[in-house]
Amino acid sequence: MSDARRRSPLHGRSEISSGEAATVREHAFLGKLVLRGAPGDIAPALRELTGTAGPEDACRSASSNGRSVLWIGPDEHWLVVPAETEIELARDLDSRLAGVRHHVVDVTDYHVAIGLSGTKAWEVLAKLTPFDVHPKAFAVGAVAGTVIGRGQGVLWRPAEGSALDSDYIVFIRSSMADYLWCLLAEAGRQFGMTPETPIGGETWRLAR
Amino acid sequence: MFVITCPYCGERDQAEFVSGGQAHRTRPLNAHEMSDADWGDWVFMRDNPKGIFAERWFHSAGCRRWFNALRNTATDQFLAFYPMGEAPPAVEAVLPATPAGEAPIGSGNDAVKVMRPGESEGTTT
Repeated sequence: MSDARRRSPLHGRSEISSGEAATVREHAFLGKLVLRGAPGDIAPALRELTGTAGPEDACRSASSNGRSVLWIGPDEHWLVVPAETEIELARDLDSRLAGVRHHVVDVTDYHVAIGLSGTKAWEVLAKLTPFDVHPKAFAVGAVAGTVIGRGQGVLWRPAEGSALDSDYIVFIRSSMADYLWCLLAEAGRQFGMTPETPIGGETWRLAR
Repeated sequence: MFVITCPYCGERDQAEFVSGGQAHRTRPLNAHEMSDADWGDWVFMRDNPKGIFAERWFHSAGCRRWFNALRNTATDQFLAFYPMGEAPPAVEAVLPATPAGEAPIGSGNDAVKVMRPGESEGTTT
C-alpha cells in the first residue's frame, strides 16, 4: 500500500534539535486506530493481536513488540502500531471481534505524532500545556488527553515495548501539526532550538 | 481557574473542560400539550442559585466524557463529582459563604437580605 506520493502534514520539516536538551521529530505515518468497546469484551482480542490486553488503569498505556494500547476513555482505546501495519490490524480486529459490540476506525492520517526527547523535553512541553508533565507526575507509560498550545492533543510517554525512541509523543490533529511544530521550536528556544517559520507566516511570542 | 476532578481521569485544569450548564433536566414527554409559555420555560430558563448547584461538565480535551458536578456558586468550590445518570450525592456546604452574607437567591434583593450586626437598611457593603 506504500505510495511514493504519500506525504505527512510535516513533510517539509526535518528534525530540530538543541543537543541533548531537546529534540523534536515527527514519527511519520505511525499507525493509529481508535477502538471503542467495553474493556472486558475487547481484552481477549487485544491480547491475541497486539500481545497486550490493554492498560489496567486509566490514563496509562500497555506496549508489547512495538504495538501499544493507550487508554483514552473508559470505553475507548487507541492502538499505536508501526507504520503500514494498521490496516491489517484493523481488519483482523474487526473479524476477531465479530459479534462483540465494538468499533474500529483507522485514524492514522488524522493525528500526527510528534516526538520529543532530551533532558529538557518536559520543560519545553510544560510551557504549552496546563497538564503536569514533570517526570514525577507523568511517568513512563502514562497517557493524557489535554490542551497543548491552542490545540487539543494527547500526550504519551511511550514505554520500552512501544519501540518508539522519543521520551514524549504528542498526538495532534493533522491540520494543527505545523502550528504545534513551530510552537515547540519556539518553546525550545530557551534551550537553543532554532525558530521555525509557520507555513501561514504567522508570528507569535510565548508569554515569558 | 478551577481544578476539576474528572471521574475517569482525575484532577485536571479547567482549560480541558467545557461547562454544560444545569444538570438533571428532564425533557417533558407531553411537549405537544404544553403551552408556549411552559415550553419556553423549559427551553430557555435555568436555575441560577447561589449555593449548591448541580451542573454538567464535559472533559472535552481528555477522555471526552460527560459527568456531573456539585458546585457552590458563591465560592466556586466543587463539592462532588459523579458520573452521568447518578443521583447527586449528599453534601454539606456552608451557605451563604460570602463575606456580605447575601441571601441565597442573589445580591441586590434587599427585601430578603441577611442583615449583619451593625448594618442598617439601605447601606451597601
